Amino acid sequence: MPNSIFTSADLTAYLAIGAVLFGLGTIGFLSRRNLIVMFLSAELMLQGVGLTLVGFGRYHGNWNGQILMIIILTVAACEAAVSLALVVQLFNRSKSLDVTIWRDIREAGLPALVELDQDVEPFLAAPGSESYPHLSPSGREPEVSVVASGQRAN
Amino acid sequence: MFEIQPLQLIQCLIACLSGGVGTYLMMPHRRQFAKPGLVFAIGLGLILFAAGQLMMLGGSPTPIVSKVFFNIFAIASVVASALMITARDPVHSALWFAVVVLSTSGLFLLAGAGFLAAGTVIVYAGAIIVTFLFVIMLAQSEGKAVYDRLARQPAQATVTGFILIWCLLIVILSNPGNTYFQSGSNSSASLAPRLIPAKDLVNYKRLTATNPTYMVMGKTLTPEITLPDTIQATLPAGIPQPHVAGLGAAMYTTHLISSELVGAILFVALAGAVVIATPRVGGESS
Repeated sequence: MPNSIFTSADLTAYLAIGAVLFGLGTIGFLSRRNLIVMFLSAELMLQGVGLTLVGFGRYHGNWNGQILMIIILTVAACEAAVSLALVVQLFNRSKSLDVTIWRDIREAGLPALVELDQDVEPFLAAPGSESYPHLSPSGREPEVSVVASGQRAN
Repeated sequence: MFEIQPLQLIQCLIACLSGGVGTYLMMPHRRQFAKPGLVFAIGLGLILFAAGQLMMLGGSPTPIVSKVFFNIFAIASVVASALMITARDPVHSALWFAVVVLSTSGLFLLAGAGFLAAGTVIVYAGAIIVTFLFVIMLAQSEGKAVYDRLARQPAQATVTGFILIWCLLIVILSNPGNTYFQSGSNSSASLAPRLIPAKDLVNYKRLTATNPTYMVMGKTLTPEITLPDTIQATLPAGIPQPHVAGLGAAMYTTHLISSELVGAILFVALAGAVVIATPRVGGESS
């Protein structure tokens, strides 16, 4: 560790930034509807907690905060693996990343949140034309037999 | 208990109010009074103002270079996280999260956690790339999807989140050890008395000295950064302690069981991800 002094004012600054990151992650998790953005918001909350841990560890002058942050890092990697597997499964079932589709599995007796479609922000295309290259077809189209493609589908 | 200064209280309130309004304006939702781009710009300005207020609120390291870098990294992390949770395109969201991770690593570096900064960049950048690939493979919506352009209850969520942030900031700024207004305070002088109450957590002294639990607990509750004697003896006198050696020593002596548990969790997550994501042959789900 560097020899400069880590005062409690520095600790306060680290804790404040960690708290802000945690709160913004909460907002994102509560209000966004895309499954992947919700997952990223949870990771943002973990980052805020990590800042808090590292600040406390530095303030108290021992390694425990950094060790805890390493453990959080590992658990975050595990969480990423499992949650992305779940996202893939949910996308395969509904062909959409919208979390509102899954509101039917909420607890019985709870009211459903209804989003009004007229509140949707209008889509603004980015200025400039999309410049995908146009490739002329080369060669002749291969013949695919029906039997072979049917076998591959199974 | 609450020793917060009135100036700090007002600054805290201003920061939370402007940040909350800015976040609400940046959320994807239809506003009737102006174009979406203008609303987004207003919200971003409010977020920047709130981040500046936050920087004035907390302290920052005293050397000027540390101060400059600390402010850069802190403002970048706060603003990028606000942009992350409000981005219309999930790809942009992932990229803003990468910015948050990089600036957080800078803050780790300023706190003396160099190994952790590198590890965060490596692990999170890897996770970000994986997420990014998933977004490209799955979504392909480029902000066109309805669920990306309509936040769910943005006002309620923002109010909830910023009340949480406000409470946390009040508690942090009013802690008894907050010596923000006493310049030149040296916290390392009173290190040992702060850590003595931790020994009350576990009444480990009842165990015999040869008990392994006693030895492990004694190392855990020792409030000092020490290398094991076998490593310490090989070092020439007078040089500062190597950083990664101390971290590794703490990890594989004091926190050995935690390391083993983390390895077990990795293995379980691997098996779980394989079980969840593998398509079932002959089942109803593809």
